[in-house]
Amino acid sequence: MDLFPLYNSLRVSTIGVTAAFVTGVLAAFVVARQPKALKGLCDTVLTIPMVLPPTVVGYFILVSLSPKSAIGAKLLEWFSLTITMRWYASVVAVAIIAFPFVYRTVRGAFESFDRNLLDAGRTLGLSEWYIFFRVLLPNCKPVIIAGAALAFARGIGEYGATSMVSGYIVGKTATVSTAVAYYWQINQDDMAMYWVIINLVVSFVFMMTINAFTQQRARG
Amino acid sequence: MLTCDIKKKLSGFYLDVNLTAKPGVTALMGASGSGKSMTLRCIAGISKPDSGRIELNGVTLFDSEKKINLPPQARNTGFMFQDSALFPNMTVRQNIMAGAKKKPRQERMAVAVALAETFHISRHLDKYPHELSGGEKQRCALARIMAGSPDILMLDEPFAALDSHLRWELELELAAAFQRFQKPVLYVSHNRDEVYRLCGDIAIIDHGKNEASRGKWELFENPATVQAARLTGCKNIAAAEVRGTRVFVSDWGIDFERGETGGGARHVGIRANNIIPSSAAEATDDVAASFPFEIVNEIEDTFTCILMVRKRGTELPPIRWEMRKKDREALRDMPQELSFLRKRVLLLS
Repeated sequence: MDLFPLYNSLRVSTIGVTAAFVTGVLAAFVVARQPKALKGLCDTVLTIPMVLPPTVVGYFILVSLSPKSAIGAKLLEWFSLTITMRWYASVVAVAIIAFPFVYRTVRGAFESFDRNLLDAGRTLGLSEWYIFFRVLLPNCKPVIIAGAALAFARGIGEYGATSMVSGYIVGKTATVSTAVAYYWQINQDDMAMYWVIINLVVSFVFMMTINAFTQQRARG
Repeated sequence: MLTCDIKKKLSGFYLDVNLTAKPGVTALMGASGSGKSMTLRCIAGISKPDSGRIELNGVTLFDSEKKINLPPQARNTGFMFQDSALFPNMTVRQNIMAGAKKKPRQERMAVAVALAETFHISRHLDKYPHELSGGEKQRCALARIMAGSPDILMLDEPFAALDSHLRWELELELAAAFQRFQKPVLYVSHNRDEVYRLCGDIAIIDHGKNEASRGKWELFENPATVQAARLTGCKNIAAAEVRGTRVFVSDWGIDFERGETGGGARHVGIRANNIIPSSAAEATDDVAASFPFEIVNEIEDTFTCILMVRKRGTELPPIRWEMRKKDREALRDMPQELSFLRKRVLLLS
């Protein structure tokens, strides 16, 4: 049995969610410090991928990264790199779709964070880097983990945008969710079921791990 | 030596502070929302004044004209927050070590142990802040500040979040720390007793504007302003009108000859424990005014009795007369009249 779709799903969601995590935390940090009006605008723009249909996100990716687009053409010219219909297009899709989940949860935590702790750090002469990595992030850990878990759960099940930007190419871009749709469409119900079960097992294990981890945090 | 002359627009009022603090403890005393915390924040650099100048030991921390605004990290001020602001993810040891960030690791470890000893939290070194009592948290916060050897110590109502039985212990600890510190300490509070015990000089701040700091004895003896009188605990304050050499206090229904001072007085005050029966006043030869009175209300306090009294036969607002319970016992036969001694009447601008 070819397990490539599972491998590809894990690869795509891990890289995509990691990218969403880093950019989401940074965006949350930057936006949380903005004045109210600007914050509202940033917030709307950055949260849009969450409310748009994934196919619309996929469409935007295709339009902006296909070899015919400005960026896509440059990538092809400079790095001989084509993004669309490759597995890395799925990474881009997952990153964009998962981003708002990290961004929103973490921004909430940053905004409600006790400012006195940050100010205390500053008067103690601690650098902004130290305060960010050693004070702010560790004390927001439960929320950050929750945001990452949400993002990962959303990312690993991503279908709409992924299928648009990467299609279903066996052994190249197939993921668990696109495999389910593919086998169902060609009437191989037993194969579809097989991938459905794999999907369930992966989700179950993932959620169990997250719960065990967060409960341990709560006890500690 | 700190000099601070700053202005800042805040919601509701304008902060306009002109303050100097020499080595020793200077209190900034004012009601809540008077701008005292904001003043400390501006000095520490965690809030920015609109204009002005802040200088500490000859170093300019802030100067709006020269466009100098040192970041808080470069100011070397020690700032103690009401709620201690310990990092919850670090142990007491790590918190204190964070305060000594500039020193090498080995030295920081030694500093943490030594300071924990000084502030009597040695047995809590490896505990997290949530495992400490309020007083222990504040002692840890103080140790963390001291680890950085600041040039000035600023405390923003350090007892505010503490239960009263924990306050005394911390107050003794603070008094000892101030003694050792030998540099300027700015102490923000609205509690006159705390301020009186801990501080040498007191600056009154009201609606963002401060009075020059004065020695505490002088301030309590002659508060000179309504705000200072109120904050130093004077319960009876009334508007006064000076006509020629006489002062008329219509709210109390009395008038008296003013002394050589108090020309510009627009208010008068009398402390609740400075009202005496006329019989006791006669001997002193210093009576400003005496008046027949009636008791409106009597309240028994912990160690004193409070009598709300007013001029007999009037509907004037009552004034507060307070005495020890023992003295109340002795007063079974109520005197006919009450007196204010001239030297006890506070003339306030």
